[in-house]
Amino acid sequence: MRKIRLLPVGVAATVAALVMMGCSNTTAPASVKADPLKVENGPFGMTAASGDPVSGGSLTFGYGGGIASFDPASQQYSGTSGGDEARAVYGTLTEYDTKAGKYVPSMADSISANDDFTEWTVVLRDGVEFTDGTPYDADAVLFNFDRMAKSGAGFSGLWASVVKKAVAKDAKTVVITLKQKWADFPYLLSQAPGMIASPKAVKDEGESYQREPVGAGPFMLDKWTPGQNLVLKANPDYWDGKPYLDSLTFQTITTGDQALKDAFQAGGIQGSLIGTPAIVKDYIQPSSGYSGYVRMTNTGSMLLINNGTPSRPDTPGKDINVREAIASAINTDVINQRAFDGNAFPGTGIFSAESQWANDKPTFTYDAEAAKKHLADAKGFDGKIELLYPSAQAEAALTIEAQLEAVGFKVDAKPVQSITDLINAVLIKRDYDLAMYGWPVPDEPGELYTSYLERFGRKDNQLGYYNETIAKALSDFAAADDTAEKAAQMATIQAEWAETVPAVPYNTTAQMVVWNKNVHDIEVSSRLTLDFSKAWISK
Amino acid sequence: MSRPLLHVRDLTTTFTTSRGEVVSVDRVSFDLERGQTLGIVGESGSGKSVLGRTVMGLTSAAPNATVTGSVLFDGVDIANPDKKTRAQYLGARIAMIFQDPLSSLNPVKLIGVHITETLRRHDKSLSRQEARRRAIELLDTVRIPDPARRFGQYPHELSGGMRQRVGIAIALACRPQLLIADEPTTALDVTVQKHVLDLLGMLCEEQGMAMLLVSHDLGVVAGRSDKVAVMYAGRIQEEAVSSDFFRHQRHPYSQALLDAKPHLENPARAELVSIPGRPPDPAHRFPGCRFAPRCRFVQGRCREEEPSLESGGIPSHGAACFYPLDAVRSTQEVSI
Amino acid sequence: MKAAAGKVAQLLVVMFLVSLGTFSLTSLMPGDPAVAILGDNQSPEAYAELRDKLGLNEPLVERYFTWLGHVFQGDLGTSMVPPNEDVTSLIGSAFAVSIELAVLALVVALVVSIPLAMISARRPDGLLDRAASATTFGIMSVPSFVSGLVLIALLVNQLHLFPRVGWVGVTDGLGQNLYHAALPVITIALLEIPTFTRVLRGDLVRTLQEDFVLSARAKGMPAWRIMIFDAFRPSSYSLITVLGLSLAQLIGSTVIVETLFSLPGMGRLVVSSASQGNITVIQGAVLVIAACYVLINAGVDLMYSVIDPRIRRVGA
Repeated sequence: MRKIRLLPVGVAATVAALVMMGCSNTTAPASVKADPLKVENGPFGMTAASGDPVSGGSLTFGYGGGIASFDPASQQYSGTSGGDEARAVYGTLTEYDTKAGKYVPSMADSISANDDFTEWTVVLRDGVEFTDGTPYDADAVLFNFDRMAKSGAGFSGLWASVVKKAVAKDAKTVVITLKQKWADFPYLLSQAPGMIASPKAVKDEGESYQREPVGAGPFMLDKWTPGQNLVLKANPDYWDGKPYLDSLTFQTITTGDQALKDAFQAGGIQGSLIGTPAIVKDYIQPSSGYSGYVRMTNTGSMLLINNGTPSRPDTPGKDINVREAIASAINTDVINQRAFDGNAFPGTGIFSAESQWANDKPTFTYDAEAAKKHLADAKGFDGKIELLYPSAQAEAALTIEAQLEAVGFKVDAKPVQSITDLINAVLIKRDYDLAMYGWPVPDEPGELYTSYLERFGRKDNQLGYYNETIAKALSDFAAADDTAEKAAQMATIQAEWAETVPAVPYNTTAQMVVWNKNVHDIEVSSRLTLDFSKAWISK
Repeated sequence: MSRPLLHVRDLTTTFTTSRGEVVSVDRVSFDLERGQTLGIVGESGSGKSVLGRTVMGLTSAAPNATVTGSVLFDGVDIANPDKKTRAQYLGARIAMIFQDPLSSLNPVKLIGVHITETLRRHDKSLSRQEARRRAIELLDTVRIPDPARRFGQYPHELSGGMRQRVGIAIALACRPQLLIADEPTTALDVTVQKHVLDLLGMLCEEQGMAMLLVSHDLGVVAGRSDKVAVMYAGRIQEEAVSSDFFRHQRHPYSQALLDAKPHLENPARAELVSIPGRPPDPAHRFPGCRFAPRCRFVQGRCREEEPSLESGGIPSHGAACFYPLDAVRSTQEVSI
Repeated sequence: MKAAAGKVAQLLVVMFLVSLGTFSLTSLMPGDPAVAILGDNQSPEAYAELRDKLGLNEPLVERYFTWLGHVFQGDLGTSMVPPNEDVTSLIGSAFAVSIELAVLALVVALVVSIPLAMISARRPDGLLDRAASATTFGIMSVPSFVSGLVLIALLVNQLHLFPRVGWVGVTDGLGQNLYHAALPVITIALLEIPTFTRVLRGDLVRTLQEDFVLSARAKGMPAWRIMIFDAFRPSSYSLITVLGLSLAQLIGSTVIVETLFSLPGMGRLVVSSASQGNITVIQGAVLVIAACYVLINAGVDLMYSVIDPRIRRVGA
């Protein structure tokens, strides 16, 4: 019998594979020995270029993800997901000056606020045009604000909760009135809401606009194969002068950070964004010969506790004793050793040790006896608790499970095959007891405020937790322009956090953008998005 | 004196198998003159087919076979041919017809290609068209009707008899001087056998070919060979001019074989039931005459010493027997 | 003609069943297009609203027949996830990558396996045969991601011979295309070489014992000629079967290699679509893969009759 029927087996296998497939792109911990190298926020390895910038050349950046859509109205870009690409095409009205630690105008000529930061005036530059020749004016900005607010996606929710109205004072001036005092409002304009698309192109192209964007940024679309690569070419009419680079390519590399590193070394890419601790540590070694920027993010890995949501009103975490028992049972150093080979950045505060907001308020400390005592105080609790975790983080989950069981919990650990499923359970359905989750939040005040507001500063959040003191501290943080004042508010939040235990942070994460030493003058802004308008390659 | 076309001396073929050394052909010697036919007869397993293939130089290529002795073809030793000799002689000056015409034709090759590739192999200057013309001519020579159509057909589309005619046509392609026909009709229907044999005989005569006609069937050899050699257990037991042989067999085995002569209706490879016992296992040799365990006339010396063709005492009618039948009969007559 | 009609009918039935099966399994798949589109920073209401807008709350049967209706009009729809491309063109470009990888890999595998099998079959259990057997066995036991990583370490990181990742389409230059395809092709080919070699070697050894091989030798044909012109074709049935099987499999499931080298092929398209719950793309891709299975199967049948005239009769 030489003839074999191919069909049924093959198709069945394909379908079965579809069903079983999970997709999480988390990189396995690299087995590199722990080294004591300290990782700090900020730039590394940047060497002053000798000589003046030279024109020409093309730069290729490799990313694990890549941009999904060029329609800024419906997107929440970041450096890991389309922010660099969109920013190259649109520019942003403002940007975050990482050195000065403040928001400054970029595509806008100026941005200023009234005394209590409730009214903001954006003045546009003269003569700026989109690459289709239409004017980059107040009407265009308002058209984009309006579209974004109505999209039901991207920043629309945040925009609606913060912005009362936006009007054009004249052809060059837009005035935005807020519902609250917010000294860091320009943050929003450094993100997708500050990316202004050509109204003409949006109207003409309709559904396909997201694939054929027209902006006024330093680069313009040359060729895009989604999921593969994106080629941008210099915009010769960019208001700040034609970029030095002829072209800028974003290459999608789905294999994880090690592949990015390989591609780097093989010369296929000249820059990348990397988050695997061991690799980050490799690159920032002074001897590595690379330049880049590291951003430590607070609450990068969280053990979320359901404090009582509508879908699970009787969850064990409703009882403060249970939450305290959990907080005392977790030993972050052990998690670091077991799951990350000592390469992670453990800590239980809502700010990392390197954070500008780090304070002396108490964090959680491991104390098994205290945990047992708290558990005993939890009246009517049988110790049974469910733990959701992404299947790619089984090692860390196992460690947490063991630590909880050691103090008397009976943990039902459930792996979740895909990150989307985890988001579904935690963020949308809010149907969980405990969940391992990522909340990376940088020090930058605008992003920090909006992130924490969304997660625990407002009623009806994924934790089912609300605390007046924390809510007030957050809103005072937003209203304050003074750094010391802001820090005081964050200290209040940390103190209240330790007192009420909404959730347990166990790891700070690091994100790093890195590029070859002969690449100069890439500017890093909010959400780790990069500005290539002045970037150049030395010979 | 003209040298014979084929001069075989002490030809021995040994196979190394898992069961040990198997001597399939054991010190065989014979001569074949130009244009003559030598019939080689024996039961299955007697080594006659191996002999045919060894003469052809085919066994020496097998990794587990050892060939010793000499096969002088027109004065050139082809027992262990090198590549060049093989290319020069095989298919060109010596050709072979196989027992099963279906399995010996490549099932996925056109009839015509079987012939043209032989032609072109041995005559590099031959054009495709010329080779085709010659092939069709050859098919016609072996009495295949409608040869041009058959040229473009596959083996499975032909009848058994037709296929064997194709086999003959292939063999004849380069007008060989020697044709080795290994059981050429065994797989064929009874009615077809005679036609094929007659055709072979006629072609040999027409083209002056010598033929080694190997068969288990004395009936096939009778009347179609100039000489007959009877093989048993790897050795030639009796060798004589056909007329002499069929008139009078001197070796007890030959006589038993003739008595048991399978009729044309008998299935191929029929056991010679009339001779009790079985041929000896070639992997287990024993001293004395190889036929001794089955011989009706066995005597003491037969179990100790191995007779040679000369033992029979009559050079023109060799018999490897200490007591050839003429002598046995006489001693019996004496004793009565 | 009748046979062809039968094949077409089979194709349609299989595609229908496969699409129905996939659709009914979508509820079991991970991924939610609403989450894929909105990310993780919206209110639960936003997700619910979007799900409604995408029609995800309608009954499965209804959604299936709506989809089927569009398919019959030749419209596979658009991707549910931004940038909402045309499914046909998405699959078209991914299929082009997969088929090129698969075909090149199989060609490379054949170019290596056929001579290797012939050398091995020439003297079964000889030194070369045993060496080849040990080597292929060794390769066979290495999973593709391991061999891929070894190749990367050696050919990319050490020798800088090939690019680490990425794909360049044929339309952007054949040279660059092959340069980028080389390493993945070698990785896939390595996976196939052992099977091909072993299957062909086994059949060749058997064929070489056939009478017609002996008769070819009796015609004075040299060993290499017999191997190539006499033994190879009748020995290639199993190879053709395995080849067809491999081709069909490779089109849909080179996902490991595609991921390893970041290639935009069918495997990655299906996996990433599945993780996003992007049903329109999955459905389209599964249809194409199923059609490939049927067509390749028919192709293998056809090859049998090309190789062997004995089964060439109509209706056989």
